[in-house]
Amino acid sequence: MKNINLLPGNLSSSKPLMALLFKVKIFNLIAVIIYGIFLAVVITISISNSASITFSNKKVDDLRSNLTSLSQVEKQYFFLKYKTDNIKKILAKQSSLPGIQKFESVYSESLKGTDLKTVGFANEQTTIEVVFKDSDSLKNFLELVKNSPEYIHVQLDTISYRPGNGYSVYVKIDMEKTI
Amino acid sequence: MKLSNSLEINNLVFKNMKFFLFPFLFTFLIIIAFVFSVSFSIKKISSQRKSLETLKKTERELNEKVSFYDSVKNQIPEHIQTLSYAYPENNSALLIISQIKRAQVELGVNMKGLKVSSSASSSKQDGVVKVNFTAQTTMDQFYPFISRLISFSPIINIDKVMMSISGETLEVDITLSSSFGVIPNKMPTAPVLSKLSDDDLTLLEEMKLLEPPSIFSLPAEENTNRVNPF
Repeated sequence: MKNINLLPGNLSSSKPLMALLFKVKIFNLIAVIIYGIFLAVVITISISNSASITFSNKKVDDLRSNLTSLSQVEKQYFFLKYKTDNIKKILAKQSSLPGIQKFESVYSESLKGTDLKTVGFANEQTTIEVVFKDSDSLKNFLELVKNSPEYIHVQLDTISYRPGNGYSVYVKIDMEKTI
Repeated sequence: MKLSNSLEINNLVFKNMKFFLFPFLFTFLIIIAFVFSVSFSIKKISSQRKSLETLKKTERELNEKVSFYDSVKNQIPEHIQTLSYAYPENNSALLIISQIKRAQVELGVNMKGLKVSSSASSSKQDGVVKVNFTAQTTMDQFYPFISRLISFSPIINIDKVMMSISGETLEVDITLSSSFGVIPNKMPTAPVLSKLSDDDLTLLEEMKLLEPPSIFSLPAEENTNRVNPF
């Protein structure tokens, strides 16, 4: 059976309105298709993400249990690092050792044969009390300590001369900080 | 009759309205649904991405830790041993004295006036042993003696040296110190993997060269009968 429009012409819908309705319907159809595709994509991404999360969770759990079995090693390594850091701090403390080591060369080069009275080492400071028989050996010694790059400050505290005895000298030397 | 006519007209108007409004209403609804879905999906996916990123990060860190600890687990006991000599966990006074005595005997240095004191820090985590003594020696013996002292474990720091020289003989007042440290009872709940640097490894090699003390303690063996020492 055919549908026949028997309505009078003045009651029929206007053409622009029908064209607009047609466009809206086409738009709706396209929108529904796009929406469907969008939903499908979103659902796929969401499912894939969920699967990845589950997989990663499982992997993390496995790794955690592995790490638990290595907890003793982890603890030992942590304390190894802790001790190494502490040793570094200990080694960075002030020491008289650089002064003692440097004095060895000063002694062999300019103080052997002199009347060395006292030598003191306290942290970066070295004190030397010595009697030189002649001015040449005194000059040698002073030049040596003055030109040593390790000694940053040389202070001639006292100097006295007694004929027959020689030059009695008291020197304070500051060493360069090694650390 | 009139009533039925008016109902029919209303029905017709409603049908026409439906015909014209439905597509617009549908467009409106689909736009609303689209906007809502987009915002919801973005939130959902970004939260998933975030947790996935966090998980991946955790996984990477754990993986790194596991493979790292696996690779170093065989070397650690040796290093631990070296460091327990170099930086003991208990008061190291006895070890220091034994090492000084060892150097003295080896090099034939006379010693007198040995004084030992030790102090623990306020945190009770670490402490220092201070040793003072007078050594009677010669200049030729003094340097080997000092070199010997610093070649021992625990690490010895030479604080102060005062030499009084009369002729060939030296009377040297020496003050040494050595540190010890109690290892903490607890470690962080999730310790960050801080690897030993090249400096640390060099330090460990240097510590390995130090001579360990010849006295040490052994853990008591359980369930062993007392042996007659005679």
